[in-house]
Amino acid sequence: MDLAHPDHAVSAPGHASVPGVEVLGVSKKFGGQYALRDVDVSFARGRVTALLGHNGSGKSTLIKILSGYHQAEDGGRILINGDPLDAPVHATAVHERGLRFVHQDLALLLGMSIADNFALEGGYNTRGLLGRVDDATQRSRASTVLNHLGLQLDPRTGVGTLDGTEQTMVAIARALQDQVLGLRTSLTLVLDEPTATLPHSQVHRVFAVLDTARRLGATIIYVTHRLDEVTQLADDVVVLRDGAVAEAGSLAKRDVATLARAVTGMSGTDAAPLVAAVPPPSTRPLRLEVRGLCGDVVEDVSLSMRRGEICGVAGFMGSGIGELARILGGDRRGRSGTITLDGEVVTGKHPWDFLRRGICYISADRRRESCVTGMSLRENLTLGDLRPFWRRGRLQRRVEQRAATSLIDRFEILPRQPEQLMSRFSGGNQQKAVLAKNIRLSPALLVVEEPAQGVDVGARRQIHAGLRALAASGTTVVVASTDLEELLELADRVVVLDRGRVTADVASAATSLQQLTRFCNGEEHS
Amino acid sequence: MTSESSTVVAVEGVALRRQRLVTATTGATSYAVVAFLVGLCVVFAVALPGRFLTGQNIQAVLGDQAVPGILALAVMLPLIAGKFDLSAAATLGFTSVFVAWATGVHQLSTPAAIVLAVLIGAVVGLANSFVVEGVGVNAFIATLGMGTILAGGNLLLTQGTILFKGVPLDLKNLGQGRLLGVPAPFYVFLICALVLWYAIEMTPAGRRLRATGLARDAARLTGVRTSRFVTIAFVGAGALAALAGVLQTGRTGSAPPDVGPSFLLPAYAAAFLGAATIRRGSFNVWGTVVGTFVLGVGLNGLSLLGAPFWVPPVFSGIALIAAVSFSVVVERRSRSVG
Repeated sequence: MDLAHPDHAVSAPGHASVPGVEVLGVSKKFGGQYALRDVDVSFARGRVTALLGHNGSGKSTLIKILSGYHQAEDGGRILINGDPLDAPVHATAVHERGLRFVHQDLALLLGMSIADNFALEGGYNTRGLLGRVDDATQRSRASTVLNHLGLQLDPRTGVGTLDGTEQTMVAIARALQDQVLGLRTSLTLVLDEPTATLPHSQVHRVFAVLDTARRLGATIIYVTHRLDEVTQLADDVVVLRDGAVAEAGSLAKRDVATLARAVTGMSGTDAAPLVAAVPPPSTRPLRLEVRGLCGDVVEDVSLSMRRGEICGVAGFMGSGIGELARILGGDRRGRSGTITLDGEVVTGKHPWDFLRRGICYISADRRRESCVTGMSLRENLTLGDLRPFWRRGRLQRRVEQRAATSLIDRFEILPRQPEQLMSRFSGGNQQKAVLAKNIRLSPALLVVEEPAQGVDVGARRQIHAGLRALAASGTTVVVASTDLEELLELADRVVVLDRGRVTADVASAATSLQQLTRFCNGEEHS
Repeated sequence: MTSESSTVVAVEGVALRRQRLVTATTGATSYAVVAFLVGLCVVFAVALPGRFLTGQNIQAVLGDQAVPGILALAVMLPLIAGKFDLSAAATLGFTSVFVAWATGVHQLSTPAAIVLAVLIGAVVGLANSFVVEGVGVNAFIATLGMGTILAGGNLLLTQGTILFKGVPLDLKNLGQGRLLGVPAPFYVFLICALVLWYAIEMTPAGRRLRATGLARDAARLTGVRTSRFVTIAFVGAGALAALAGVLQTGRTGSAPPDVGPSFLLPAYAAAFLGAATIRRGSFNVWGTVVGTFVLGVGLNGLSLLGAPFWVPPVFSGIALIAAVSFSVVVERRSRSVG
């Protein structure tokens, strides 16, 4: 156990003179683009600091620099309890200095007990010559930590038998064990959207644990999209925007609306609409009608969409937008509710039943669920419908190649090599190919999740252009995305989900990033 | 501006050259196993003058490789769909015993016995796919269990003795006869390979089968009925294994109770050698045929050289491990270059 380091004992808990973590002049470039530019922030001990920002604001880059996953550019410094971290930063060094990370994937061993999960991070106590694990001590240590944090759980319980909220709390308790046992006076706990997938009614239990940790003197960095949680929990806020600190300081009188403004960078209550998109005339025939759809997260969702409309579905992770997309795309069945397409109820429980009705679905998991990476580009493009190439008892490769080449030209997939393996294309070109193969089927309804995730600006523009052209031809396009700016840019209309329920259904032209952010946080559209 | 654009051109040039290099090495490694087979023949021809390259020996190799070759094609089918079928060799064994029993003990006609045997193989495949796709049991475990059940069936039909009485002549002819100087079983092997090659490479069903094995989720979301293709693969594997079983009885004119299991490993070795050949990284028909002959020629040459009885299994085992290692290493290298 590392007790020798001088700084751990310097200031008692609550003495917040030296910040727990200080970031000085840190920058990070990816391929010439700054993800973070000259960032100075500090996180005080014994306080919860909310780290806010939209996708691409530099939030996760900052966390990854702290964890040693990314290295900052030369010149930046990170101080832990006043003491600099040596570059290059290694994950083990970070752990030794008392930084603990709880990611969305909690990294718990579900098949083992709570005590074992604690010991695997905190170290095993052994006895005797043979180094037998001292289970009793292990259990009593775990039990002390759990009690201290107000968790009534038996350390012998298998982690897999706990519900999501309890697992989250166990992961947090595991990260805090050295602090609770007094082995360290100031741990830093970094939480990356820990409540994103938890039911709303349970979030306060996690907050109670964090409150105890704060009183023990831990430095808590809380990354979230949920502004309502910030106002309940945080002492300080740091807002990142475009790779720089936009605002930092005590939460004081900031409320959800002012935070939303800070995150989006707009002034005024509702700044001018970003996009003056012309909504399709409401006289167009209805294409899709969803009534009372319920799933695991999605609750009582009703929507209707017209031909040629691009409809955005917005929400944070865990809001149910992914589930809604899968149900509409036919990959998952709702518990109840009906989906009607062009006046006919869509039945069937497999994607192919939906495909036959003209419904295509593109998942957000490109590598696993959209591309057959072991096949050539040509084979990927044509897999959805091979009938045109089946002539005289065999697949006519020439005809197939011509069809592939015309798609490659139309969607500018590079390199223009239909026979190259799909795995060898860049993410942006893979995504263009995925779009091309679906558009080739001329669907009545295309459901696409995060269409421009992880692709460069050029590919993003081409993908959006492809979706617009498809809509112009009469297809209804549903775009589910956590990227609100993308939806404002692309969609005619945005439906916002929060915890499975529709909180707003607005025309893009009549809303703003700020307002959408508030809807995502549960504010209802009047 | 000019210097920048010239750098871009230079970088693209390097990328292009690299691309060509990759295609060139891919081309070379794709035929490494074929080259190895040719090399093996040359070495044996030189080391065994007048004994290896004789009409008689070539006929023996062609005839001997039919049963293991058809079984290799059988295990290849589920492998293409992304599943292991460990019951294929036991299916071969059970159907081998079944035809000997049906014709010898129950005087069934040879054509009827063959049809029944192939049906049994197909039913075994259907049962496998029911447990794997319907119930959701891991294919490794499900087919291991199925294989053991079939081994019990062997004991039941043979009552622990070797069946050889009354095996009809037309069945033996199928196993031992010649047509135009080429052993009859080799024709059966060739026909099986041609039919599978057509089905897998030329038809939409074959394309969908491959997509199922390569990326099941992506295939499913593109409208491929993935479960159906896994079922087709298991049923095809069972039927092919049964055909191999029939030939086995015809070839030896008898059916011992323990026939079968020893065919499993060479079949997988041939299929994996095949995956390192021709269409590298995926299981394919002609690669599997080449793989079968690498093993066949190797064993034949070694036995002519006087290798002791324990050598064949060692050789097959090494071939399997070497084939898989080879494809893993080549795959890793091509990925790091690309």
